[in-house]
Amino acid sequence: MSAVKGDAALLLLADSRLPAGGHAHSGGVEEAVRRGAVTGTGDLARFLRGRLATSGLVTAALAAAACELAVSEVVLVTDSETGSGTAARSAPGAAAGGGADTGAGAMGEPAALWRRLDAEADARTASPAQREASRTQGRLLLRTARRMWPAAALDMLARAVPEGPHHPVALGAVAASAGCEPLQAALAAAYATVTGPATAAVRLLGLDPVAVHRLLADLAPALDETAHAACTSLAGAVPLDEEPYEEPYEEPGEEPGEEPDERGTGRHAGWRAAWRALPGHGAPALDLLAEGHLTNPAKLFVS
Amino acid sequence: MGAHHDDLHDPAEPHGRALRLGIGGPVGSGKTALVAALCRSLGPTLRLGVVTNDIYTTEDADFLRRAGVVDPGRILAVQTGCCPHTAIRDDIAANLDAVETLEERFGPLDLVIVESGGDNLTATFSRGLADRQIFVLDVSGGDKVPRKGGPGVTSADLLVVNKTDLAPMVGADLTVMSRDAAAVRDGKPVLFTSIREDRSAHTVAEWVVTMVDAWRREHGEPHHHTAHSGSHGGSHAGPHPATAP
Amino acid sequence: MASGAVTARAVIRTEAAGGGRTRLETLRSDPPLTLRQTGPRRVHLVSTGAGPLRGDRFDLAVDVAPGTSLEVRSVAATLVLPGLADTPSVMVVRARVGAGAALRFSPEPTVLAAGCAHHLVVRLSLAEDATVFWREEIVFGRHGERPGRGHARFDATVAGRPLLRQDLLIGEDAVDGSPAVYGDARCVGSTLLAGPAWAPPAELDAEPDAERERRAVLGDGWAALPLAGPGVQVCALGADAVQLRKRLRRGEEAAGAPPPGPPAAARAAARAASPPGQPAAAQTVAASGAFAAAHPVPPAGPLAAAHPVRPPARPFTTPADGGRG
Repeated sequence: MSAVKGDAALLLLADSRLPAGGHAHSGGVEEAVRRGAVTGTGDLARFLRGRLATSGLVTAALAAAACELAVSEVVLVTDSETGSGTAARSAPGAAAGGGADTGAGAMGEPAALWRRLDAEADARTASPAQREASRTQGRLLLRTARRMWPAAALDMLARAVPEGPHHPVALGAVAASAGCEPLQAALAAAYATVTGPATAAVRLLGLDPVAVHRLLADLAPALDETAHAACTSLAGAVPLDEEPYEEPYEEPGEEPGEEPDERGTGRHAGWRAAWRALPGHGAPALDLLAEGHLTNPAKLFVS
Repeated sequence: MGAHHDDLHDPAEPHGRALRLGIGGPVGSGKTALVAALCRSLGPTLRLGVVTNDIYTTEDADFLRRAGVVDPGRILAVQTGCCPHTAIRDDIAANLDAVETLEERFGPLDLVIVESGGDNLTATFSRGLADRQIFVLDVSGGDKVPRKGGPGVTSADLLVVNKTDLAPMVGADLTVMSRDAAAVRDGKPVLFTSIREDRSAHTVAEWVVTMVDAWRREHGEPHHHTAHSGSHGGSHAGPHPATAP
Repeated sequence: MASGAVTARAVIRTEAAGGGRTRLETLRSDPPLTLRQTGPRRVHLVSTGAGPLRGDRFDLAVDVAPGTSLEVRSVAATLVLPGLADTPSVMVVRARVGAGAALRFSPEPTVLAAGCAHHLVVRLSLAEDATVFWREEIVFGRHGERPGRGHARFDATVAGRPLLRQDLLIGEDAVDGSPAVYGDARCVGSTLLAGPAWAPPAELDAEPDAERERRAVLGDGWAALPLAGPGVQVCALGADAVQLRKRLRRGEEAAGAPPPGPPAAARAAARAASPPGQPAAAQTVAASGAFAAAHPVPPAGPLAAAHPVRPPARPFTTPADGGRG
């Protein structure tokens, strides 16, 4: 996976100055500070490392998946417009020669796929407060990015998930529109999961900003590893029990407009199978902090 | 989604929408009191929405709600993560989201007021967020403030000097303030008020009405926006109305 | 794989025996993963050997047929021990719960002894209107010792749609002692309550709305978290297993879990007994939107209160809280 093409776009995307509302989220740090769980650079370092290993990995994987989907979807939408009828890029694990599912319903399928990926993000976010914060950030990012990097995939995502997609899903789609690869999307997502809280801690605790950036510098190798692990999880898609898994209870009707026979084979099933095994690393303390934050009558950050 | 809303290249596309009025100024100068006064005087004739950018979440919004000057649902609070100036100038995404949420829920609106969190003299609104802006000073900061200038004082469409009733007590010379302000403001208006005494801030309200009328003449009657020009339709978890349940 | 590694398989399958009754159609197990029927619809896991140890592989398949109900428990905590093998011990539980069926799965905690390496994999597949109570407790080492390494993966789907996918890592440097993950807790637990009674409120209008999120109930070291799909996850952290269980119980109550005791039998019977078109008690509660599936009365907790009607535009119900999260 080349990491050259979208490098400059990646910098823009990961920059804390990107006007997409991220500055108002502390990623649980404000509540951790309020509860005395983070008081200085020592416990902040442990906070950031734990956050990266859990929600960082999950958001990185979802962002990579979204990036991959957006790249392929651009092709797919173009196909349906030109009527060429061939998908230039098939989903991981998809059966070869899926000519049967091109053409009709081409617009319905990407929308259903976006909703499905967004639902995978939902399933990995048990805390409603975190889901809401994630959707808020996703919506604002999409709003900003649709002006910066207009793309059919972003319009499609906005239509598919009108309440606002989860932040990593939006981030991955935006990264694709900016010309980034899935690995770069994953890196941007992992980066955001630690830089936001780090900046918030500087503001809330008056920590030495250089000391906090030293923590981030120490985390840089782990950030790289997380992004790679996220992409590996996407490519590998081997469930932990290492056996092919058929869902005993399938959705009866799936999404409206879908071809029922797409569920068994073909592109759609390939994507879904790849996403099912993506990491879902949970952090109970982050869940408790996110919910506790809502009870803070004098909060400075949205989340 | 109509074509109009899909034109993403200029989401601040002024045609057919409310005038967005930013109100900024240092802490304690009377921004929230001014917003309340404007709601009081303009509420009966104009369709209003208010977005607040509090330091602490909803303090200003709660004040406005208690003041009973506007339907509580029409007040949205945006959190700014310790950086009020960022939210109105450098990263306006959350504020735009709030403005458009109000327009969706209650539109068409004539005027949306965005009140900044109390900040320093350099904080001004992005043109992407506010079409016109008012900067509020008060006399207790000293009569040297206008001379010192700063982007708020020099560039705001209207400079309001509040708490004139306190001028004798703090030794502020209003003549000096007026002269200095005129010198740095290149002819743009300055109004002196005491909102404590004139609870409807009628001079400021008149200026705002003039602005709204001019806006309407230039850009047409506001019509209902069914979807955010950004990305989505429907009400959503944008900023919540800062009201008690 | 080192010699002596054990592979064990166990199967529990129910079938409807008419009149809303459940019969155990299959109950098969290999030592040390031994199953015993301890009630009409109840099975206990009886560990008849030490471990699992590294290299061991245990598989448990649970199949709750449509319209039946089952409770699975264990007689004692599972102590996962180190062993000579390089590979981790693996415990895989596959459970499917059919239409109108109910499963309560509440084994005693899994204790990760120092030096162990353990994978716990749960795949829970629910039919559209199945009901589940699934509790999982993990203790980070025996008293006073550092935990071994553990990786628990939990996948729950409803009619093929993802409901909850979660991995928990234990004993890894990155998460150990992190205030973001377990803080200073020594054990972690969660309970999934899923089924139609925990479905998010139906959309009352066509407009999607992220504010439809239901509010969590938060306690000291626990939270009952309404999921995006038809379920609530109670998560808890604790200093020890006793505290953990207490916290989980509180969360389960807040989420409207039925009290411990006879499992879904009563409600299954009630459902079967009610005339067609006339919902049984459990369904009445569900239809009224309360959080409790089998609760005789809607629980009074904030979750339930927030649930029956679409929340107002502003979702917070805590008066002290003025803003968004």
